Amino acid sequence: MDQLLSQLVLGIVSGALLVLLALGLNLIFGLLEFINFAHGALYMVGAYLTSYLAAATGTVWLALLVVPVAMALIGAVLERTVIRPMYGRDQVDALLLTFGLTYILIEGVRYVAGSAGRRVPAPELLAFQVDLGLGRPVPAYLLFVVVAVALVVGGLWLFLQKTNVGLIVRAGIRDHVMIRALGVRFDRYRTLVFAIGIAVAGFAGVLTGPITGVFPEMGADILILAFVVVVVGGMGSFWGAVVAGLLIGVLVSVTTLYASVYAGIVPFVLMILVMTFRPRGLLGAT
Amino acid sequence: MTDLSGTEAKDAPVAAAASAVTLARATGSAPARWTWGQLGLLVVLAAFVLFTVPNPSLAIGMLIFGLWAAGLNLLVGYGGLVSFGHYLPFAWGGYAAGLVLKHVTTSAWVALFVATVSMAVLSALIGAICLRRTEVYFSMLTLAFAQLGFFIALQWNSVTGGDDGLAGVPVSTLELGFTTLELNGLRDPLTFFIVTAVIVLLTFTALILFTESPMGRVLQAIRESEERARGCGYNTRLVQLVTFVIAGAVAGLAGGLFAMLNNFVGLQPYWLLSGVVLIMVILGGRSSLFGPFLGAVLYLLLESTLSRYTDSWQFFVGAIFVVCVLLFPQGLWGLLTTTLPRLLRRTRRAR
Amino acid sequence: MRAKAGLLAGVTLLVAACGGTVAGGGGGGEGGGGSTEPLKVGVITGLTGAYVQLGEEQRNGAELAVQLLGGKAGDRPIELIVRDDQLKPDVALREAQALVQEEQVDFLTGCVSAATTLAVNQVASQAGVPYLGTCQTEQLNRPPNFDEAITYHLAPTPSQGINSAAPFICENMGQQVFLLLPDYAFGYEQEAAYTTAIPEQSGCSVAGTAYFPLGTTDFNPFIPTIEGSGATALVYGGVGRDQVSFLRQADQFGLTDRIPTFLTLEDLSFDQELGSELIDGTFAMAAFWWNVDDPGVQEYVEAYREEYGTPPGGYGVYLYNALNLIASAVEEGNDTPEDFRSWMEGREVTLGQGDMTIRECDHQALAPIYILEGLAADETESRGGDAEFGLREVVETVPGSEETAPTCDEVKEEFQRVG
Repeated sequence: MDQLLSQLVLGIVSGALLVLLALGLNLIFGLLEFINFAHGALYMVGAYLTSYLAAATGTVWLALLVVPVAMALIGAVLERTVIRPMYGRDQVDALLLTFGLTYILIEGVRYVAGSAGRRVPAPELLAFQVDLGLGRPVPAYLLFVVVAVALVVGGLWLFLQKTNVGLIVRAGIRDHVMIRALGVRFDRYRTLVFAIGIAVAGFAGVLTGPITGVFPEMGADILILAFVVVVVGGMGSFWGAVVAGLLIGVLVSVTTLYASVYAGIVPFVLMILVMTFRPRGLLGAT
Repeated sequence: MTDLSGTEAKDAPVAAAASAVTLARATGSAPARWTWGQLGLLVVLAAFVLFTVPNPSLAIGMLIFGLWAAGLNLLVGYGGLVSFGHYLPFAWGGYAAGLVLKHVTTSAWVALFVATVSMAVLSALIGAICLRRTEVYFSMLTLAFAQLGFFIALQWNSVTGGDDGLAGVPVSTLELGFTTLELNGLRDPLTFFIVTAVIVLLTFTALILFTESPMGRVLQAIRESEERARGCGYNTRLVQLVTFVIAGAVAGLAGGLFAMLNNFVGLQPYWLLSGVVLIMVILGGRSSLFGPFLGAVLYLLLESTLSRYTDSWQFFVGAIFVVCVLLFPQGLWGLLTTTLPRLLRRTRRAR
Repeated sequence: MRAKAGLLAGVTLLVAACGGTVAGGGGGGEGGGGSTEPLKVGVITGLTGAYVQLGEEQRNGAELAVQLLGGKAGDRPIELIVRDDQLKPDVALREAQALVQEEQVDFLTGCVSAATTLAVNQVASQAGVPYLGTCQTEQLNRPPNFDEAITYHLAPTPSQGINSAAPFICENMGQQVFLLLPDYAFGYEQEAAYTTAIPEQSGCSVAGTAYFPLGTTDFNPFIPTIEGSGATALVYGGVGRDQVSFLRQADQFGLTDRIPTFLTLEDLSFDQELGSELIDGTFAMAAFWWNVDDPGVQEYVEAYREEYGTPPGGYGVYLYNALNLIASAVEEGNDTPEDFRSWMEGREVTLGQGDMTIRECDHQALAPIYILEGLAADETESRGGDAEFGLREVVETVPGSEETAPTCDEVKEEFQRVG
């Protein structure tokens, strides 16, 4: 029984990272109306920046602040240069463009950093274990990850609900023609939302580094899982991404306990089931 | 709105489809120029490849991948449905053919028949689920099925060889009425190439017939506006499903040929290879059936030559692809048939 | 009309210029021929992809051998052609086809992953070109892959290593052994070997087995299972990247402190990526370690170190051995596949791995297996022999023999998964 509880906790940790990626994807899909295939590669870039920063300064803490900002800038630049021409075109073209971008990013990183992978040290401060009374102690760093993600999710929600900028973003997701008609400088908001989405992905990369190390292909598998989360939760749905992300993280974790062979396939079966019986996703709008 | 009673009912669908196609021509995503001329172009391309590509297996591979990509373009270019899982029927078609050759018979007819038909059936089942949604959702679903297929191929070790791949596929024989040909890609590549070329040309002809047929035209009308097509009384889902099945069957055929060429079926990430065939389609040009062949040749040339000079060849492929999507969305074919003639016309007019 | 004519003219020109290529090329390189014709050896290895350092090491090992041989095998100059398979079987296949058809190589060798080795072997078999496989797999020696005319296996089979290591694990680490294995062929091969070898040691048993999906980097979910099994020793069967992930995460949980861990696969480059902190106290087995007291090994290590600046890891030596074997055989006049085969069968040599025998029934190389202990940072110089590279110390050497290898009867059957 306490094995199961441990697995639940671990599932929430891996789910938390999925939530971050899925939220970014959803924001981008909601306002800019395309699926950002480069999301995984940008997550990887964030992780690499963390690894270099940690090697230079000896600590990961700085990266938690600096990397998301750097990624936001990168996102803004990308949006203004290569993504902008895609608006008004087929939804598919942006998808294809970001797919091509993935190749460029991965190979670019490989060229600079090599294929071998790099270490990211976990913060010394958190190198202890916490006994939550769940039978087995949990490394403090993993709990920190959950807390950090919760803060980001909360912050994003507050931003969207309580600020004027957030209000416009939400309205833009609803109906961007109308928003434009009301005189809003829509392209600025697009850049902002894309930058936020990429910053959040970069933040996820920062958090992941100490758990798995960094390597060029790290964005690929998690991106596909993030797609599943987005679809299962409901495309464009904020809480859908949160719920589905945690759900899938836990599902994979628990399946690993009982039938580890099938753990990889569970998210896709879930996706197919959801698409068949509830196409709008768990919390998606019709 | 149109009165769908009496004699008008017979004309209305055809007229609607024709008008939709006309509209498509006007907006620039036209069906190909020189529809039947493409067949001639394909013959020329095959000859070109035959005589210039030094690696015979690569040359044959270009034809096979071109066919695979052309089948995908039925979905992408003509149907407006972007599948991210088109490696699945290719890979499994390969397994089907390989397993038939290993355990049942070395007849190439049987192996290819099984590969094609089994993938047609599989595509029907998968398409029935994936086509319930459109656009991005459809793409995501095809991706999910590709991952599912990868997982099964990986796990079903006893049948597929799992990660190590299906090895020891025997050389197949092709029985024609007057003679029997042994299809050994390594020892007699010329025979293999010619047989492949014939199969590819015949299949290509069938694909052209489909796109020019009433159903093919309705498919393109659906791409322009599904609602309008449905409003005209067409069973849009059925048309899309038939297209999905044809694309899958063609992929299965291509995969079977590939298995016979290599006597081996390897395991690769399905989503990655699905992306590669999509790149071939986009690079080559999605507005025609010949375009994907150009894309396949181009991609494989880039892969084989660039990789000799730099380890980062995928960077350049990615960059070329991005430039293509940004500036030449109609691909190489569009560049050759639309952009360049327009430029030439402009310079001629300027004089 | 004009366009078509132009195209036709172009094609004709090309035909004239290049001549038939598909028509001309084809068929394999059958044997050498003249006494001063270049000896072409094709090397296919992973030069891009996840394990670049291993592929580069193989290339280095091959090039070093050729260099030390003076670039010649007898009177014949050696031409080494190195190609990248990107660790993908399809690419390996294509490159092998190119080497056989275009370059018409006399020998093929090299590989980093089992999947690519089987693909290259496939092509070699079709073309009749001898192939010296250089990565660990059970399957190369068995049907449907083994072709007695051309297949040779210079790396150990997993069972050779595991049979050598099982006594050590049971005597020195723990008697309830948990197996954490990757979910693909290499993992299944390990399972078959461990579940046979471990119970053979008295008092020792397998406490549990778990498979992790290929490419996984999240091992946290497995840790409760391992702890819950009551294991007193842990075998980890993953490679490279997932090895790094696993050890980090296990370290975070304090697992590796509580349960001694044994790594099936080890390489100097992985150890360097992991660092002393993570490998301290772990054990591993390897077919090669640079700091071994053997004249053959040291000759290779010193030459490698002088040429490339670092000691070699475990993958280059196979290529070094392969090139030396090929060169010796050809020098003595055995340049056809049949002659090469009779020369190789039963051959005893002393090369980069020390004393080695090529077994007759399945052309398997029998060479020593080393059990290595990971050292703490302050021990690398004293026990490891080098402050920077002395990350492990050899604590046991098991000589290569028929006893640890699968029997000649066993290899006549296709490899079967356990259970």
